[in-house]
Amino acid sequence: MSRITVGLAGNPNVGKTTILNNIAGKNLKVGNWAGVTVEKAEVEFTYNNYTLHIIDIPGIYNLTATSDAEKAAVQFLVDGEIDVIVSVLDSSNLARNLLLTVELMELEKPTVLALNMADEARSKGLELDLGKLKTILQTDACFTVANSGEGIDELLDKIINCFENSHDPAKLKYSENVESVLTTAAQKSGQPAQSKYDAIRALESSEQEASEAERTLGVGITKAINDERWKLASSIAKSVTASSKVKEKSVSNKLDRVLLHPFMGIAIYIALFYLMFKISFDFSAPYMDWIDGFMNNFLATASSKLLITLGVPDVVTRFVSEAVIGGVGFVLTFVPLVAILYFFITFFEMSGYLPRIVFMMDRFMHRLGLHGNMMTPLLLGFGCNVPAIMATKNMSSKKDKILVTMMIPFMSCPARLVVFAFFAFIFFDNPALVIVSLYGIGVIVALITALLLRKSFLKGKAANFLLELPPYRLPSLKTVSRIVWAHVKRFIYKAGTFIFLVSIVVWVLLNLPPGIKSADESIAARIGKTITPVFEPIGLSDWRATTSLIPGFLAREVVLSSMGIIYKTSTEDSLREKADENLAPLLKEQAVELWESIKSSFVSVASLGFSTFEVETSDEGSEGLRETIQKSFTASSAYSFMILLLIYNSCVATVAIMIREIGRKASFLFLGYSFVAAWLLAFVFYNVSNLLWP
Amino acid sequence: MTLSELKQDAEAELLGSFSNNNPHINKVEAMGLRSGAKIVIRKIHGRNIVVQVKDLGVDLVIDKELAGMLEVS
Ligand SMILES: Nc1nc2c(ncn2[C@@H]2O[C@H](COP(=O)(O)OP(=O)(O)OP(=O)(O)O)[C@@H](O)[C@H]2O)c(=O)[nH]1
Ligand SMILES: [Mg+2]
Repeated sequence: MSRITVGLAGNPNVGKTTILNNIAGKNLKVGNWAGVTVEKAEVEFTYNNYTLHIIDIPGIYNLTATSDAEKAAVQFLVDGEIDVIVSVLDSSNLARNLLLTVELMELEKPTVLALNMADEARSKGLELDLGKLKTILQTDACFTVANSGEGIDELLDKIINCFENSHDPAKLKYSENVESVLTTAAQKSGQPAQSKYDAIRALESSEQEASEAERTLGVGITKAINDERWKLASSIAKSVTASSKVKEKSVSNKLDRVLLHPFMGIAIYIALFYLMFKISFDFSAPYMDWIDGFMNNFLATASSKLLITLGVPDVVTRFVSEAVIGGVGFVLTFVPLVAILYFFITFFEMSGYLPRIVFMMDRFMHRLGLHGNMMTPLLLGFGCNVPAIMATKNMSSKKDKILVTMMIPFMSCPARLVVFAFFAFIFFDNPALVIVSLYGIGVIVALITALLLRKSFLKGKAANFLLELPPYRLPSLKTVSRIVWAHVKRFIYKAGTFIFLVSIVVWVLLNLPPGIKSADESIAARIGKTITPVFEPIGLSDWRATTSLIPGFLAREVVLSSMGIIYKTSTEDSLREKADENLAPLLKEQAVELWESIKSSFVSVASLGFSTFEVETSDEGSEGLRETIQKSFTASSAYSFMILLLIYNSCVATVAIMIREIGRKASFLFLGYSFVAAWLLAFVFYNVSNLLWP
Repeated sequence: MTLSELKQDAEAELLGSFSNNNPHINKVEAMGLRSGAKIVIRKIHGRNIVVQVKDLGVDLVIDKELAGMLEVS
């Protein structure tokens, strides 16, 4: 079986990753803006007896790179082992896209063209003559619609065909003057160039040859070649475009008139941001309530009953009830919130709105000595800090890259949100407002950090700003659901693996040394009590809170599972009672409540009020988890706890990617800084709020 | 006249750039802002200009410093 290495190359945002996802059934990150993919991603699969090794390459406009992502892309295209280059083009913008195709063809490697976004070209009224295009460029080509999969099989066949007949890749011809300059230079140097690309680079890098060429051509060689490429690209585009009744981009223009308005645009953005949280909370709260009830009232009882009936030792039954249901189950309660939040984030990233905000924010950022290019990674940080830090590969200045990397961890992610949501729901009347205030504090701390760095270690001026605004695109519900589901799966997987492991450790430490009468005497409690003095000034004097913080330094959600376990274990529940419960009525009750939840989720979104988690008092006198936690905190200590989690960079995945991108020393310095900043801020908030609302 | 001097809604044709071999200008050109391109200024916002390249249907944001290197008719 032959193995074919295929490189997907093209302008940013033409659908390269979407093609790869479609071919290989993957879920690599896509979005409607330029620069989503920042490092090459590879997949391998079998097709018609061939092993296709397909590589998605970050988008580029030409082979002159300015950022890390572009440099990696260009280097791979020029020097990498690629059997077939697939030049992916946006069919609705052929002239501009062909410019890169022409430059790619200078590499003289086997090439196939994928004219993607054929649907958009059609709806614009463009008719393209594929046959003519193939004849002019002497390369195979086909139309594709990566979203729907149209043309993908044909593309694969063409790739294989190209590989099998790749002995003599097409060679471009520029104007006679340019060709003769290139030939003369190659003859003089004595070594024949491997490709036109090599010949051009050799000529550009030899000062003497370059100035001689300039004398002959009347302009610099780089400019002359650029002009040649452009002339060729635009003349090809013109001759293959059959129809002229092209429709205006009227929808995008109209939307931009409002969304890019200096004041209205910003106001709309803030309103949308707030609305996103409000709807997320209102819609998900009833479901979370239901899952919580289901776990504690039904699942805990049912599993205890089953285990007791089976004669399993009490310690195992307790483990399942406290660590598995109390810890992992507690985190899973938040799945509805995570899902709906990712729904909005995905919609936002796929719609084309993101680069507009980046543009709007440049004005403000510029005043602070920062610039709009920094905004994309920062906005991505709201989805997850890890890909956000990766996105700094799009920046051309090393200093800016470090600066932004040190701002990103203050952008609150959904993992933090679930913790905030829990506290906001039980301690505050308007949870959405509390959350938005926390996001705001994160942004302010990020800006202060950036200003401090700009004034000290990372002096420099704001870089140039250059950005393409893609057309608005309405993502299909299918695409959005698929992406959301991938995020939700990751959340659940993490709960079942990483969080589960940590839960075991926490639970074991809560039950050691053997024979203790209450969790208060456990090793976990002792550790918690040792560090409590550090957190007492910020209002955290309960060892259960501080102990939960320790594993929480691995990932934020772990704070919740740990709290679930610690607070549950420390309030003793009688297992034996559960064995006597009758499950049938309990199950019926759950079904009724689920129906109620569905109804109230839609009602609460429609109304303007806020839904809150109800803190139920159970009849038997044993306290519910929320109630126990409510007694352990005050509103101000809960807020200070949230600030600590917001600001301190407590996520191993983020730290790991930081180390990879900006080095160990800077990352650990930052970690220290973020802890001190978090503590100080929490201290101020806690004490001020105690003064104001004693 | 340079691109940075144009007013909102102004239409013009790009004549070329003043820079020789500036990688950023190379990129600007590869994005579609090159001599011969017919453009319209859609928005001016702080230091940035939203330019639409009419024949390509591409919207680009470019800061005034870079725009100052592009000559227009
Ligand atoms: N209408 C339409 N939209 C498409 C098509 N292919 C991709 N898209 C959308 O175009 C946007 C860009 O897709 P990506 O796959 O992220 O583009 P990319 O080329 O990988 O972009 P970079 O990684 O930034 O270089 C996404 O919003 C896709 O949903 C298509 O054939 N038709
Ligand atoms: Mg991509």
